[in-house]
Amino acid sequence: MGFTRRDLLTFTGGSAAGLLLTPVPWSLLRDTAVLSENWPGVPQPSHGEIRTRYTTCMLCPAGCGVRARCVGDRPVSLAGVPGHPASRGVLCPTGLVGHHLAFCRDRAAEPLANGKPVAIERALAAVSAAIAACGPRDSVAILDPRPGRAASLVYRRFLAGLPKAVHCAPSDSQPYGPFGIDLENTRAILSFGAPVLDGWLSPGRVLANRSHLQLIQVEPAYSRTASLADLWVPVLPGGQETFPAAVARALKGEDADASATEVARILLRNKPAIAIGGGAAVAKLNAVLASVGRPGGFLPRRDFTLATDIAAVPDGSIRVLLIEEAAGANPLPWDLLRRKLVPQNPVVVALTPWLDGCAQHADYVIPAPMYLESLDEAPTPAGSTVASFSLSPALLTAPPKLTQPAEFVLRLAHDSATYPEILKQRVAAIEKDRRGALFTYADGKSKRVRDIASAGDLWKAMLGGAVWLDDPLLSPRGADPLVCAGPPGPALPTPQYPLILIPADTPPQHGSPLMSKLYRESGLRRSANAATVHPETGRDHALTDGCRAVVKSPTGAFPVQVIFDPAVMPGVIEMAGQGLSPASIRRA
Amino acid sequence: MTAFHNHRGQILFLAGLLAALAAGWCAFPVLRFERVPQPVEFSHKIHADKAGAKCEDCHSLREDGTFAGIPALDKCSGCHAQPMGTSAQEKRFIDAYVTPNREIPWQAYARQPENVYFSHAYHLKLAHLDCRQCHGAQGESDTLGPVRVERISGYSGSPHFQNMEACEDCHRQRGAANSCLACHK
Repeated sequence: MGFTRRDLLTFTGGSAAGLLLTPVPWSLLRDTAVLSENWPGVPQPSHGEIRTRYTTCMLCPAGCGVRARCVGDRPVSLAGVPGHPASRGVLCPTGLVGHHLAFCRDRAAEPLANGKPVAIERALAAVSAAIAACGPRDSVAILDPRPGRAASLVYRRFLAGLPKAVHCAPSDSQPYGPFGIDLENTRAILSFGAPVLDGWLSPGRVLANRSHLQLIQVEPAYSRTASLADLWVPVLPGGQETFPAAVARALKGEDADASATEVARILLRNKPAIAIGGGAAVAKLNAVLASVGRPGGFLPRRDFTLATDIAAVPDGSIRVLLIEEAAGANPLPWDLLRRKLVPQNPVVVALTPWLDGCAQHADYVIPAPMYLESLDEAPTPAGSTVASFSLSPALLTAPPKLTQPAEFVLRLAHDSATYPEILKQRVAAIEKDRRGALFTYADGKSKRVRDIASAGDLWKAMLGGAVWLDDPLLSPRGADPLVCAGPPGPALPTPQYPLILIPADTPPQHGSPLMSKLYRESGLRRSANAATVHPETGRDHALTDGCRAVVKSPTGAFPVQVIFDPAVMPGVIEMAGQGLSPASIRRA
Repeated sequence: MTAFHNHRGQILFLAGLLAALAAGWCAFPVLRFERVPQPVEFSHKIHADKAGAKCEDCHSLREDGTFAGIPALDKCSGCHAQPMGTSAQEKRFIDAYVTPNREIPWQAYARQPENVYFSHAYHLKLAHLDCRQCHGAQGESDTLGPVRVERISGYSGSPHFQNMEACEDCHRQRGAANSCLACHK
C-alpha cells in the first residue's frame, strides 16, 4: 500500500500541530512585523558623533541664542543658551522646533515667474528691466521685515542709486522706535492689549523679570496675557483710547473712574512703571509716568535705522515691489500691499522661503534659504536697551536654487560683494568702534571688544555663537516721549466700518510638520482666516454660522469663514493676525 | 504490519509532529540568522592581558555623557601603526585599515530599532552596573564571534547582548522605570 493523499494530509496536520509548539510562527510574525522598518527608502535618522553647535534664532526679532544638539552634521534638538542676554536660556515653542521648518511642504524650492520655473538669471534680467522701465512717478520699493540689518544696508545702497525709491517696513517692525525697555528695572507694566506674556519682546527676558513686575492688562478680550496678568481691566473695544487719559488724570490726583483710580494706585505703588500698547494717549501717559529716558522706563539706543512705514507709502506709487519675507513671520495682508502698487502692470518680487503668503500674488518668486540653512544675522531685538548684533550660522545644508534676498539685491545692483562679505564688514565696523562686549554662547562669558585682537578673531568668535552688546548711552534723559508711542491705537467705529476688529490667538503661520499635532492643539481648531462674531452680531449682518464672508478694514479686505461664538463681545470681530481697527463684514 | 495498518494515521501524524518539532527547535534557530563575520579578528583577552586595557579605555563615555561606542581607527593606530607581534591577522589589519587610514566597518552586535533609546551613561553612572552584567565575559573573549543578523528583519540578535526581556527583568528587580515609554519613544 503506497503513500496516499490521506497519509499526506495526516502528516501535514501533524507537522502543522508541531510547528505551533516551536518558535517558528512567533519568530516569523515578529520578524515580518519589523521588516518594514528596514526597507529601502524608509528614512533613517543619521548616525554620528553627538556635538553641540551654537547659532541665533531668526524666526522673530527677539534674536534668542540657540544651542543645537547635532548628530553628525544634523541638528536634532534645539534649546536656549543659558545666560544669553536676550533669551536667558529660553526658547519659545516655535524656536524649539525651528530645525523642522526646512521640511515644511509649503516652501519655495526654485525661482518662479508667474508660477512657472525660471532660471535665476532670467528672473534677474526681468526684474532689472522692470526697474529700468520705471517712469518718473513710479517708485521701486523694498519691503524689509527687519530694518537695521546689514541686509537693510544693502537695500538702502541699492535704492539710493535709483531715481525714486523707498525702503519700507511693516508698521509693527519697529514698535518702540529708537527706544528699548529697561525691563530689568521696571516694577509695573500697564499694557494696552500688548501680548506681554505671549511672545512680546524676548520671551525669556520677560519671564526672567516677571516675578518683580506688576502686570496690568487693559484689553477687551480675556487673552492669555490677560489671564496671567496681576490685574485684567476689561474695556470695550476702543476703550484703549480713553482709558489711558483716565489713568493719567488719576495719577495727577484728578477725578477718574474706579478702574482707572485702582490702576493709578498700583502704578504709583510700583515705580518705575511704563505703559505700552501704542497710541498717542499711551505716549502721553508715559510722559505723566516720567518713564522715558529714565532707568526702568524707555531708554534710547544707538543703532536705530529709520524705514518708511509701508502704510505711509502713497497708494498707487510703487511700480516694482520687492518683498522680503522672514522665515517665521506672518505675511502682510495682500490688500494693503496691492493698494500701494501702480494700477497698470506692477511687478512684485517675493524673496521668500514660502510658497504661500505674498508669493501667491508675486510675479517672481525667488526662493530664500530657510532658517538654519544659510549664514544670516540677528539685529537688535525690539525692546532692547542697547544695540546688539549676532550671526546665525547655518546648521542645515540648503537645497540648490536658493538665493539670499540680500544676494539677489546685490546682483540687481551689479555689486560683486557677497552677503557674507557684507556681514564681515559689519563685524569689522564693530571691532573698529571697540565699544561693548561679546557674550560667547559656549562658555557663557563676556569679553570686552577692545580685548579682542582683530576683526578676524571677532568674526570667528561670532561664527561659533556669540552676541555683541553695545554699551548703553550715557545720558538717556531728554528723549522725546512721543516717539515711543508704539503702534497707533484703534480708530473708533464709523458708519462705513461699524464693528471693531480685535486680534485673536494667532495659530503659527508655518509650524513644524511634526510638532503641529502636539503644540497648542486648541490653536489649530480655528484656521487663520476664521472670523469669530457673537451670534447676534452675525444675524444683524445677515451671516450664518460657518458661512463665507469678507471682512473689510482700513488696511484691506480679508476673505474669512464666520464662526458664531456667544463668548465674543457683540459688535466685535475676533480674527487672528489682525491689529485693533474698525471693520465691516458682509456675506461673500 | 497489522498494527502499523491499524495505527497508520496516528503514526504519520506523530511523525509529522516530531519532524516539525525538530525543524522548529533545531534547524529554524540556525536558519533564521545569517552569520556575518567581523572584518577584523580582535582579542579582548590579549588587549586586557598584554596591554592592560580596561573596557572604558576603548568603549568610553564622552564628556557630555553619551557613549562613544566602538572606538575609531585612531585608537587602534596609536599602537598598531607598525605590527606589534608576528600574527598574520595583525599584518592584514594594518595593511587593510591602518596604512590606508580606513575606518573599520565593524558589525554591530546589538543594532536597535530607531524607536529604542538606550543610554549607557544612565546604566553606568546612575545604576552603577558593571559591563559584565549585560555583556557577560565578552571582555575576556579571544575572538569576536560572527554577528547574527535576522534574515527577514535585518536586525542583529546576538546572544552576547541583552534582549528586551532581560531589560524588563532587571528593571523590575531594581524598581526602575519599566513602562514602554521608558525605552521606546
